[in-house]
Amino acid sequence: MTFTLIVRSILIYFLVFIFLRIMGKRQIGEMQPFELVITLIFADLATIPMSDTALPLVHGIIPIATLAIIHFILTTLSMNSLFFRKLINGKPVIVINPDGVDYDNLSKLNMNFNDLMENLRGCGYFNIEEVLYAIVQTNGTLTVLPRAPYAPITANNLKIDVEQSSLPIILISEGKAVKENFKLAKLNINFVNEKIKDYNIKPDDVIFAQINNKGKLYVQPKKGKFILIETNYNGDGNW
Amino acid sequence: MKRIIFIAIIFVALITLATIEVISVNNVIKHLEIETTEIQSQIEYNKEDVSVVLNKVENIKNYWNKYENKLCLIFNHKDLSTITDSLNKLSSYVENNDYDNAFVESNLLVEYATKSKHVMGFNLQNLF
Repeated sequence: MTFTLIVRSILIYFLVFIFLRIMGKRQIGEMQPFELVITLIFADLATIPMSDTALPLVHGIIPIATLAIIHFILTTLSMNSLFFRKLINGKPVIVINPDGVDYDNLSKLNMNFNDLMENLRGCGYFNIEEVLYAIVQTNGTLTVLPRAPYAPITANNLKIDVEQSSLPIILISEGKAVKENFKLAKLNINFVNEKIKDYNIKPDDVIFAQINNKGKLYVQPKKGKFILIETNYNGDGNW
Repeated sequence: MKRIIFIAIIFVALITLATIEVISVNNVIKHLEIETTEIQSQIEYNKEDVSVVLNKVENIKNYWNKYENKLCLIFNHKDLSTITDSLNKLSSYVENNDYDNAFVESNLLVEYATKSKHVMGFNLQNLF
């Protein structure tokens, strides 16, 4: 019986894993109401045949597969039709506008002032007067547009030219060279080995290394402080 | 596109599985129902010597054993073992010429077969 339960658990785990992957990444991130419903049912459907050996595994597989199909149909409909998107996902609701809190909308969402303030604080605004607009999105998150005096200052506000930085690329992770990233950056491991030679770090001691398109190489040895090496690498316009 | 292919494969697999299930399960259960009904009437007819149906009982037992493993894939295992137990009991009663118990058991078997057909079938009662 124990072996049966182990094998069933493994099968169900991978089955749910595969279906969640097919259903897309949003499933495990911020969920829309219908996605939440499917995830909750999924969990229950998976556990019943996992523990009850009298039930055939297909009693779990079939409903999960059916739900995956329904989910696919609903997401496709909501992607292609505005009407269905509104019907399935709902629409964002403005709870704070320039006149203040829209209490009617707040009530419709079953939210009270405590919930609103909690969410505002979560967004970094502790005073309600700092907020021009607050919108509750369809997945339940609150987004805030602050009034101009309370908005974060950007380089654009100060009319300063700022050089565009690029996404650093990881060359070594957990001591292992990330081959595809080396290929993307058109570099090889010797490039890193050459640069660290001057710092008395052996190649085997590097646990993490990344480089940006300004040629800044960040190297973290297994022990000791990280080192920042300026190189003449310019990204070669690769990423 | 990859997702559409995956979903299409899952959809086709589900429909295929459902069709195979409807056909094969119906055949097996229907056969069981017909045979057990016949055994039941023969037991009733041969009150003095019920062992005359022993061959029939053994045949249906073998038939059931042959398909039980396959039915396990889609059927609740407890329901299947109820039918297996009942067939074993019936075989034993028939062998010992025990009319009363054989009659009751054959009745139960007919009931189990009918019930299984209803449980597995696609009907309104199962939907709600």
